[in-house]
Amino acid sequence: MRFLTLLAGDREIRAQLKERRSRLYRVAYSWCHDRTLADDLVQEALTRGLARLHQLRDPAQLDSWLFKILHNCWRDCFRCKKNNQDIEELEDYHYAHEDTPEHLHSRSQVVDRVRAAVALLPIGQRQVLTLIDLEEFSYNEVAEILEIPVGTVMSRLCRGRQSLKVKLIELAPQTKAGALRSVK
Amino acid sequence: MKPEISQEELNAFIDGELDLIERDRLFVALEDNPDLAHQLCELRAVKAMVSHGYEEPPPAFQQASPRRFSASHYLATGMVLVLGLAVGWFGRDWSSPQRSFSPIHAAMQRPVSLSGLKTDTRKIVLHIDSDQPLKLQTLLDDVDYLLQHQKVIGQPVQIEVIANNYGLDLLRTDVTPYAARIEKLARQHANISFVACGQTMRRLGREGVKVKLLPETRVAPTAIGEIINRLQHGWTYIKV
Repeated sequence: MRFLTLLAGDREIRAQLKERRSRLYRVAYSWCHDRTLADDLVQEALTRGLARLHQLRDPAQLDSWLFKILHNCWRDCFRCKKNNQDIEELEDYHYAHEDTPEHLHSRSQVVDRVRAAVALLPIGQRQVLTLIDLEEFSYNEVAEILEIPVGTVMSRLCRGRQSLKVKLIELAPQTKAGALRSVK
Repeated sequence: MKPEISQEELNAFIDGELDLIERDRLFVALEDNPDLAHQLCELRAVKAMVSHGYEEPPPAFQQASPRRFSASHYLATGMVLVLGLAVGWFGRDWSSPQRSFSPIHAAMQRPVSLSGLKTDTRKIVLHIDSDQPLKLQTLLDDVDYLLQHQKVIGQPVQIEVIANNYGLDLLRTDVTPYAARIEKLARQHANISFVACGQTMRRLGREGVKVKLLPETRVAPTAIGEIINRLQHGWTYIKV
């Protein structure tokens, strides 16, 4: 297989996909906060993307196209998992922690608080927010990816940031707030 | 009257979504509205925090990198293969069913001329009537084999070699090629005897041939009579 790809000379595409993969995973994780599910979503999205590569009209839009597929996978996943809660997997997730104490300690508390706050946002707001903040998509691109009007993108973003602001800044411990103020 | 700046506009500003005129309007509004500036700052902080929060997402459970086999993998596979072959080769005797004649088999290859022999045979007559070198050789090899055989089964075997006609050459001092071998056999083993046919000797004498036998040899009146006598006593007859 590797030999064939060498012959075909599409190393570049593979490198691009690899790079996209980590970005897709980051966004998928910010949506579901479940490593396994995020990985599955990315895998599914890339599989679909490769299968329908010929449908991509403008190569410059590869990014938004891929994220649109990811969004569809995420939606399909909701549809099929609605009545099917896999308790075994849930338990695996709860009990199998690969984080070492060292790792946990070294990671800033801010990261945990941010992730917890984002996880509590409604799904629509979460998606808009992460696509804009993590991937720097424009409002128009996000509207296209999620298939919603630009106005909805703006209002969801506004509401999402507002509730994050309340949770992360106004309710933050005093030391954190002081640190933020000093930055200002 | 300054135009009101909405939250959406503030968000659009920090996301770089405002055009030139809108930005201009916002900067004017910021100049004399510290509260608006504070809001903007907080929104910026939120945006920065979100992006910081997912800078390094936890690694996926399954590693995405495809499995690659290095030289050490191949080496290990090869060693396992060699080990398996060795175990199979050395274990073949252990796993295969016991052969009925295996102790003798282990000591010595069984001659074809003795293939009819039973394991529990104790008394054997070996008859030779030819002077062909191959037959003489076979006879003595059979004797060797049977003497080995008795060691393996742990019980003595009685052997009698009967020579008549041209086979008498085996026991004639002047023509036998195996005088030393026969002498050694007779000296080492009490249970082996060499018998010459008296009838053949008489015939040779009539023909003017002087027959001189090896000292170990006993003379029977006739070879056939001797063989029949042995068979009647339960001996096993083998014609070489």
